[in-house]
Amino acid sequence: MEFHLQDLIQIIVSGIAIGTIYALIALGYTIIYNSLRLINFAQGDMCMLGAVLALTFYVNMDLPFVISFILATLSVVIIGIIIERVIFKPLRKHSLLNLIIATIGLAITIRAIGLIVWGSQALKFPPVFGEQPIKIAGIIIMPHYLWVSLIGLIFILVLHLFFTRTVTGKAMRATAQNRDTAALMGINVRKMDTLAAAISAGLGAVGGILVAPIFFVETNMGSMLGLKGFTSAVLGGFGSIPGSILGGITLGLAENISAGYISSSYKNAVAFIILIIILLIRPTGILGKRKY
Amino acid sequence: MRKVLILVLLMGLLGSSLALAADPVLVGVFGPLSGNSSIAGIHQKEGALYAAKEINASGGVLGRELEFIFEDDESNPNNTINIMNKFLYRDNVDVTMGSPNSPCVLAVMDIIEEAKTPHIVPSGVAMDITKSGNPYVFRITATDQVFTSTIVDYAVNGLGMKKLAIINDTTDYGQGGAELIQKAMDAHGLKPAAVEGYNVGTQDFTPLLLGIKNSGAEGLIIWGMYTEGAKIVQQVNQLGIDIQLFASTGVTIGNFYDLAGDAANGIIGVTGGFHPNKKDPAAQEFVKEYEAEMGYVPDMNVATGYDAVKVLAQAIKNAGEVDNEKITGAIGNIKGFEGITGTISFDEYGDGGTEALLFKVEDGTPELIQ
Repeated sequence: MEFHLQDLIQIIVSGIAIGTIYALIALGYTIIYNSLRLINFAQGDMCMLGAVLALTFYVNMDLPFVISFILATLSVVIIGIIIERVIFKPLRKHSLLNLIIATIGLAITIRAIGLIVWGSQALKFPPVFGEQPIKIAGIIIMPHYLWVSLIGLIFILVLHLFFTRTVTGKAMRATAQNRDTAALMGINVRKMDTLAAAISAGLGAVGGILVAPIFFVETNMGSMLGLKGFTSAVLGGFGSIPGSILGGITLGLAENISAGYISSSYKNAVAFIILIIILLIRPTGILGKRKY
Repeated sequence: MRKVLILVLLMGLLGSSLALAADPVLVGVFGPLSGNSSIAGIHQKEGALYAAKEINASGGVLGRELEFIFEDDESNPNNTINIMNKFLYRDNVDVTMGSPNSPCVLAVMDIIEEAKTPHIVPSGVAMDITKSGNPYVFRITATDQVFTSTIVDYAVNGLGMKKLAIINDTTDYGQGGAELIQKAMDAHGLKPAAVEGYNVGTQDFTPLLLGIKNSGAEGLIIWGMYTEGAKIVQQVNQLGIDIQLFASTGVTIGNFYDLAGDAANGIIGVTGGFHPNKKDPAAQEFVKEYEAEMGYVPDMNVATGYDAVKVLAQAIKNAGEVDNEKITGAIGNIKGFEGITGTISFDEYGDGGTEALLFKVEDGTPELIQ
């Protein structure tokens, strides 16, 4: 493809927007991993649940978008808490493999329920962020790309403040570092587990709701988003919160730039080749801590 | 009362002895009669029965009536295998037919070849159905080969375009289509301005569409399915790219018009050789009569089911007797048969459909380009 600066900027803007979504999902994986030492493969399906519930509240029940956004996120948070209580907690005593298989089973179950309730066809989400493209010096930018990036970044910032400035956030990080010591210091680690499950489900829902107006809502959207979010988390360094954010945005940009300048057919392959190269150079991911 | 009873008995005897005098030609038809795609199977069935009624009313074929056995495959290829074994070895049918669903046909290709009975596929479009070299399988509907060349011919001759780009999904369907488009362009001495592939599930087409925009293409041919197709159509619109869009049959089905919304206006799509608005007088008469009798407007599945039975009747007449090999040969030799779906001429692979119709979307509804 011929090189045009405005094309590159357009590609970067949409890459950052989708990268922000990947980052939100990656954060969901990271937060659950840090507290429960568990990779939750149903993380992508939280996005799907967020998107389909928001669609139901907004379109079928005619509620305002902001209210639908909050209601859908809260519903998914509650689902996340129930999953933690009913599935993760009893299985904690068993081997990690059982837990991981349980999350895969959970993902399949959620997807099947979604299929029964919302059907297999893609659904259109109304363009809540506006449809009129913004034109600046030959660059055409859809407003929802900007909104998605902005809202996504606000969530990431709030999360950062929560983890660094509040007692509860610090307690969660302490639990992540060393569960037993944290418990000895009087932190209610069980509460922290539930909180982690709630936050990570909520982040997934937010990611799903934000992509819904750009793309369509599909009951199988979770598998792709979950995979990309997981890749971002690994890319940035599994377990690292800034790493997840960086990983998500890097993956979003890498995908779009490779589709534009290398090969669109191999967009997914190129993204994974980049992942493999980075992991070969830095096995712990970009911001992952070296383990001795 | 007794007299009536005797009369009825006598009539029954008379009827059965008449039937014995001329056994019907048995045709086994499978297709989805229940489940998600049942409408396709039911329409195929009703189109076939409608044709058989016309044929039987005018004396049948070789003095024998056409009789059908319909089985519901529920769109499941496993069921098709059982149904075909039942047709061929229990019901001892003379010919088999079905279905709108390509995987269900592909599942029984070996059974057909082993039994050496002729099989007509009214509307399944997978390339392998005919191209895998099974000499007993014939198809009525036109396929991507006809669809791609119809689009390219119209773009080049009708709209005077010289630079065409292709965007296709990376499945067999999309890549097969892209190859056929390039072949059709070759025939005009043209090379595609750009060819972009995408994975099913792709959300953001910005980089691909910018590449196509920069190639200076006047037309873009989309070969894929409706979810991604709708996204492409929308994003071309949003990015303000000034290009004529052409869409494969897979793009304009499902809930494409809901998903694409206003962005669908102006795109040119392609469909098989039948459409209720087709201007052809024979087709118009068929639509009128069929609707009057059956209570609904016939669609592509009705038309291909109807043509399949008409082609079969013609072939049996030409063969002179109901014999597997002779009927198979006679179907293959049919050329220039004027059906409701257009002219049917079987090629060396057994593909009969030669016509496709183009339509342009105006205010959210497809209008035929005549």
